[in-house]
Amino acid sequence: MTTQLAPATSLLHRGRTLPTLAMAEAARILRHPVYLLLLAYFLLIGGVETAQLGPPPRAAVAEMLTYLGVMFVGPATFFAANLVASSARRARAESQLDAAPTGAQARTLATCLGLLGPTAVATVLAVVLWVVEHAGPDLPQAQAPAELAVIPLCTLGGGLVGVAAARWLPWPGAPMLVMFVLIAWVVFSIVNRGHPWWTWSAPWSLSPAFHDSAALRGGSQVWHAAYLASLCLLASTAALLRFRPHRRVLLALGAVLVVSALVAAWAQLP
Amino acid sequence: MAEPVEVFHVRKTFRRTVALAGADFTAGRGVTGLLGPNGAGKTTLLRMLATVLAPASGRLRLLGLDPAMPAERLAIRRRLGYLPQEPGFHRGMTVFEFVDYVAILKELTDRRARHAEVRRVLNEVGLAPVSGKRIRAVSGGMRRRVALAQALLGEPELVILDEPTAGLDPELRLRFREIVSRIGEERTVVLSTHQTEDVAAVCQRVVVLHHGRSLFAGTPAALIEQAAGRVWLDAERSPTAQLAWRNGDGLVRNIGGAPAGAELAAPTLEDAYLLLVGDRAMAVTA
Repeated sequence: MTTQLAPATSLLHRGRTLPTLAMAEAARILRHPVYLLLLAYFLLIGGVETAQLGPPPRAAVAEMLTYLGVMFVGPATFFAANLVASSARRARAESQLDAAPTGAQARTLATCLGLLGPTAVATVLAVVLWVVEHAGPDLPQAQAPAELAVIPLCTLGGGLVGVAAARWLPWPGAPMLVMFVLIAWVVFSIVNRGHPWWTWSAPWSLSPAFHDSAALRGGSQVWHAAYLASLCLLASTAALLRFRPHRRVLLALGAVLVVSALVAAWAQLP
Repeated sequence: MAEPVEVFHVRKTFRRTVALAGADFTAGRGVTGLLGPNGAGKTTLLRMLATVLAPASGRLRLLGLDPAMPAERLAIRRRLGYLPQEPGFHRGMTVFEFVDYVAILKELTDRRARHAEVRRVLNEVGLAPVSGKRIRAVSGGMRRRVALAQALLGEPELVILDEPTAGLDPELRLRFREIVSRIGEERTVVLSTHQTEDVAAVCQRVVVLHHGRSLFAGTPAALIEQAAGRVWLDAERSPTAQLAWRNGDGLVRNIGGAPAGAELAAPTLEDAYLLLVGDRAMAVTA
């Protein structure tokens, strides 16, 4: 039986390697063709649709940016992060990279941290959206900062689920399957929008301002952001749990995060 | 004083297949070549020396440290360069980007110093002119040199090269020999190969592996000496020869127990290797 030697040292004693590697991973994700192509595609489609409405009213621009932020950036980051995280395996480069002082678990952590790059892009998008919604008379669907936080959180969460999928499901087609499950979850939540629990537990949702559903109103957007943040941290913990070192600590952290996600999921309900 | 590489009775099995059945050897500064037929355990042994595989039993000491101990393993990895048998690449990266990425994994974090080191190793393997090309766009020989370049990052004290000349044309093989020889002047290099000419050309020590055991460990001259008086030239194949083949000059080179009065020839490393590992090696080299 093959016994690969585990990475040699603590994740937390990496000095400057981890931030340097995280920046390199962020650049890889942001420059990934999948990310750029999907972004270009959405901007093109969204731009054409907005232009067809005539002079772009702020409401149309805000709607386009909301859909871009919530419905697009997360899935695009998911695929880009998955491909970056699985690139060493797909390139059969793991053996030579494993001989480096920075092991596979540290590389995974660096990829997770590198997702702060796309998250920063999504945050800029959310800020632009906030400016569009609040530069002038208030729009009826203007979103609060906690609602806008869904955009960077969906981006971060999408990427982290992509990394976790790369670590735990190392076969072709697995990312498509995971994305299908996520979309099915969202569709299920929309179909069951009479039940707040299903609606609010979905991994991403549009602002209640865009829907008439009573199920989407009255809940706490702050707790919803906390719920999504817990899911993000759970995904990164799951990715790191693929490796032996620090397993007990990670399992304990995972248990705490499950509890916090459940608490936030309950507290967010109307 | 301990040698940089010490291998004691190392065993390894993969399910029912015995990859290493008690290999022993030491390697000091200079180039040590591992020779052996396919399945002899060379790659398994080199992966252990690269600290990516643990032995089932036996003991390894690398650079005076024990790779089984996490802290010592990290110290070894910081002083190690490894070129695997089938190196993998992020093909979308440029040559420079890939080597730079590995440099970060090797904890070279200062951007300016790291880039200078990447340029140095790319120069050393003659890849500076193509450093901006994507890996998918360069030839197989160049990719092999990219893999060697990443193994040389940080001037490692111990360099592990698994069949570095496999699949290279003669000119590139000579270039590789030159590079490996230069590295071996100051550091410890352990390489595996099927090519006895490579060993004869650059190795100060040779270890012959067969069925997971080290059959011989010593200098190439000592290995050749084992074949003295057992190689002869004749017009025909001799029935007493273990192996025989007709040379370009029309004479048959017989190796084995030489009959009385045979015209003895100076043995080569290949002769000695073939005598040592026997028919299985012949099947591989035929």
